[in-house]
Amino acid sequence: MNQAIGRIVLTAPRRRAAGRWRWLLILPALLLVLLFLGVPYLNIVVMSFRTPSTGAPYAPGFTVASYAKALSDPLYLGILWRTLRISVLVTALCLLIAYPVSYHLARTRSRFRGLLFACILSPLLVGVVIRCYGWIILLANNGLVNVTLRQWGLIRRPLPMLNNEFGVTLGLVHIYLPFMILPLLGAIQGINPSLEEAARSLGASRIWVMRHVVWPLSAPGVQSGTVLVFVLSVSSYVTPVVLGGSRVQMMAPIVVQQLDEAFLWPFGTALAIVLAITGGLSVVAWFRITQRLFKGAL
Amino acid sequence: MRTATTAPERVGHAVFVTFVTLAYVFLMAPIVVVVLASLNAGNYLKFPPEGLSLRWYATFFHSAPFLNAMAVSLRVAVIATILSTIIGTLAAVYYTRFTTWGRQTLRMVMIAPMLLPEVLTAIALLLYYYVIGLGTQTLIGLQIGHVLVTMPYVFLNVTANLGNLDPALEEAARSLGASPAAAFSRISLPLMKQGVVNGAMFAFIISFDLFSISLLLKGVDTVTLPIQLFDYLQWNFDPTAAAVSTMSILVTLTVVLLTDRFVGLRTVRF
Amino acid sequence: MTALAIEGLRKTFRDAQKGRHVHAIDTIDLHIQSGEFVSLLGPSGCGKTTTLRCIAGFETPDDGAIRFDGTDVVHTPPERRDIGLVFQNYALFPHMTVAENVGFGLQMRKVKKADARQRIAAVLDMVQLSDMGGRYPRQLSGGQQQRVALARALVIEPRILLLDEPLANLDARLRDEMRFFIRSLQQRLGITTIYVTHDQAEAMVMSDRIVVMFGGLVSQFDTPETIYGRPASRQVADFVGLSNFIPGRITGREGGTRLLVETGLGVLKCDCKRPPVTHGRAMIVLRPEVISIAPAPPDVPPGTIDNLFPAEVRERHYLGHATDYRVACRDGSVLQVLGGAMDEVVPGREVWCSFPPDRSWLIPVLPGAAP
Repeated sequence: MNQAIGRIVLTAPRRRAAGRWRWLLILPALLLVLLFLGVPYLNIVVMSFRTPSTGAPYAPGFTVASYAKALSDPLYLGILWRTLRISVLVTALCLLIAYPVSYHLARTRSRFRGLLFACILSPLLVGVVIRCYGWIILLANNGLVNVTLRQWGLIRRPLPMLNNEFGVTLGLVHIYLPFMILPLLGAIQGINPSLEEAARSLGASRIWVMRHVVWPLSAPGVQSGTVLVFVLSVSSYVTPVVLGGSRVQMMAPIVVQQLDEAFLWPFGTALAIVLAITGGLSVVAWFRITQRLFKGAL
Repeated sequence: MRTATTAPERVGHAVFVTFVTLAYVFLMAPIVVVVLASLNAGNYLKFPPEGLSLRWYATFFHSAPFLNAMAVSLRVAVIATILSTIIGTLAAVYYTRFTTWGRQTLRMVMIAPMLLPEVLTAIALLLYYYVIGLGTQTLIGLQIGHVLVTMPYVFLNVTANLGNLDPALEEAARSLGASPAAAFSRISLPLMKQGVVNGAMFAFIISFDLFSISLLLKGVDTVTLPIQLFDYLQWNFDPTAAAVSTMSILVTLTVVLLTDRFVGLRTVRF
Repeated sequence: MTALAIEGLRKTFRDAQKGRHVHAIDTIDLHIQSGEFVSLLGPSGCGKTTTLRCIAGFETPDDGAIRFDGTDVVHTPPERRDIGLVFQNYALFPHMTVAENVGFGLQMRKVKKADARQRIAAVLDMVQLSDMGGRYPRQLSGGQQQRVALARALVIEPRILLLDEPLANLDARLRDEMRFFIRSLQQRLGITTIYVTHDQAEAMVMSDRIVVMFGGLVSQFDTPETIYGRPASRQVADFVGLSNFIPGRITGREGGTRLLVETGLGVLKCDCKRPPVTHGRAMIVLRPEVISIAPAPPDVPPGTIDNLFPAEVRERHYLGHATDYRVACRDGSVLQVLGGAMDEVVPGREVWCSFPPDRSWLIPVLPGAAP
C-alpha cells in the first residue's frame, strides 16, 4: 500500500487560505540568486562583447575583438593549455590517491573510522591560503622536506619545489583531494559488500573483484568526483599565485589581473568566458568518455 | 574482512595499507606543519625548530592589520551566517513543502552559487557593482557576495534534514488536534534545528575562509583575514603567518566543536 | 447505531509516470456500528490505506460522503475530526518524551495540566508503560513504541480509532501478543475501530467484521466466519486462508439448499443458500481441513457417505500441528488436505477422500473465465 503511495504523486489540493503567501518564503533566496548571480553573469557575457577602450573600462558599441585576441594570442592560448594540462593531471592524481583511501574508509571496521573521516574533512575547514602556506613551509628551499633530505645526505642542493608546476600541482591535489574522496566514499559505501564476497566465493581474485565489481559500480562517484576536481582546478586562483608565483601562470589569476589591475573589462571577461566554455566542453567530453568507459554502469 | 589469504595477497595488502597511510599523512601534513611552525621560537621558519614559544602569537595580538582583519572576517562571517541561514532555511522549507513543478530547476537555481567557480562569481559581482554604482568603497557588496555563496550550504543541509523527516509525524500531530501551523511549529521546527545549525556552521566556515570574493570585492582599507594573510605572505615568511593561521583554524574548530556539542554533526554531503 | 458511514466514496490519483488517473478507491459504501472493530483487508494497492486516510482527513475524496455519527466530515480538517490514529511506523515525536508524546493531544485540546497528568498516567498504565513516561522514543523497543503510539491515540478519547498496519514492523511473536492486547483493550473501551492490514490472520483474530478489498472495490464485508466459510469470490477465498477449487456444473437440487454439482470427481453435494446463477457453472470451495482422508474405503454401504472419492497421495509435509498432504484425484486435479499424521498414508498410496456438504461452498464462475 505504501509503495503505491510512493509511486503516485498526490495531487489532492492541499491549498488553504495561507497558501497564497507561500511564495514569500522563496522570494529572498530567488531575488538573491537572480539579482546577484544571474544578472552579474549576464553582465559579463555582455561585457565581453563591448568595445575595448584605453581611458575608460570600455567604449560604446559591440565587437568580437576581445574573443579574437583571446583565441589568437599565443601567450593566452599557452596559459589556457597549461591550465587544462595541470587540471587534468591534478584530477588524475586525485583519483589515484582518493580511490584506495575511499575504498579503505568505506570498508574498514576500525574504531578509528570516525577519526579518519575527520582527517578527510578537516582540510576543508582550513582556508586555502593557510593550506598553501603549509606547503610553502614544507617545500621551500630551507623547508622541512629539503632540510630532511639534505640531512639524510640524499641531496646536496635543495630541490626546487616552489614557483614551478610541481608545487602548483601538488598544492592543487592536496586542496581538492577531499572533493574526490567524498563522492567516491559515498559511491563505494553504496556497494553491497556481499557482492564482493559473492564474487570471491565464485573464485575471483581480489584484483579481479576490484576491476570488475567495485570499480564499475563506483562509476557515479568517479564521475562526480573527477568533474568536481577538474572544474575547481581549472578555476583555481590562490594556489597558482601562492605556490606558482609569476612563473606558473594559470587562467584565473590572468583573468583577475586583466580586470582588477589592467581594467581591461571586455578582454578580461572574454578570457573568463573562454575559460568557462573550454572547461564546460571538457566536462561534456569527459561525460561522453566515462559513459563509454563504464558502459552500463552509469 | 579477515579472510584466508595467500602470500602475494598479504604483500598486496601491506602495500595498500602503506599507501592509504601515506595519503592521510599527505592530507594532514601541511596543516600540522603550520600549527607546529607557529610555536617555533626562532626568527625564521626552520627545521628542526629552535625551541617552543608563543612569541608569534604575541606578535599577532599586537599587529593592528591582523587584528583588524580578524575582526572584519568575524563580522562578515557572522552577518553572512545570520542572513544566509534565514534566507536558505525559508527557501528550503518552500522547496520541500510546496514545490510541485520545476523542483529540479529550483534546486539548481538555489545551489548555483555553490556550483559556479568562485573566481568567476567574484569577477561578475565586481563588474556588476561598478555598473550599478555600488562599487567597493563599502563592505556591502562583499557582504552580499558572502551571503550568496554561503546560502546554498544552508539550503542543502535544511533540505536534507526536512527530506528525512517522516511526513507521518506532522500527520500524527494533526490527528491529535494540531492545526497545520501548530504541527509545523511544534513538530517540524524543533526537528529542523540540527539541519539549520549545521547549515549555519557551514555558512560561517565557508564565509570565514572565503578568498576570491573577498579579494576582488574588498573595501579600500578593510580586508578579511585570508586576504591579509595572502598579502603578508607575498613579502614575509616569518612565523607570524603561522600564528595567524593557527588562530584562524582555532576559530573554525571552535565553531565545529560547538555545533557538535549542541546539536551534533550530520554526515556531510556534497 | 451507525458510528461511521461511508457512502459512494471515490478517490483517484494521478500516476505521475504514466500520466493517467488511477482509481485508488472506486466507489465504496460501508456502515460501521458503534463499538465495532472492522478490518480493512487486502493486498498492496487495494485502496485500504487510502480509505483510512480519507476517514482521517489526510485525503480529500473526489466524491462521496463520510459521516461520523451522521455528520458529514469530508470538509473537516483532520485536527477537528476527533480521531485517534496509529501509524505503521508509529510516528512518535522523537524530540518529546513518552509522556509528552501522549500528552500532545491533550495539550492541543487545552486540557488543564493536572488533569492531563492524571490522564497520561492512566493511559500509560493501561498500555503497561507506567514507568516509561520520562523516556524518549528511541530508548524504547519496537513493541513499547507501538504501545506508546496506541496510548497517544487513545488518551484523547477519540470517536474513532484508526490503525494503519500497526503491527507490520514487529517480529512474529510480539505481533501475536499485540493482536490480543489491542483487541482486548478495544473491547474494554468499546471504541469504534478501523484497522488496516494485509495480514488475513490478523484480521480474522481481531475483527468483528472484515472488509475485503481488491482494486479499490469492496469484495466482501462480513464476519470473519462468513468470509472464511462462505467467501464471495475466488479472489476472497484465495486471499483469506488456503482453498481448493473444484470446477463444476450445477445439475440439480436436493432438499432446500443442497445442490448437486457435476465435477471431474463425480457428482458432489454442496450446501449453498444462495446458489450462484451463472449458466449453471460454479466452483466448489473446499478448505484443506474440511477434507478428510482415510487409507481404506469406509466399511459402509456405498452411497451412505457423501462426497467420497479416491485419490493418490503425492506429497506429505509434516507441519507440527497438522500434516499437509497433496493428493491427486482421478481427473488429474491435485487437492491440498490438512489432517492428522497417519503413518500409513505415504506418497504413492491410494486413499479415500470425503467432505461434508455443509462445509463446502459454491462461488460463481464468471462467464468467459477459464473453468
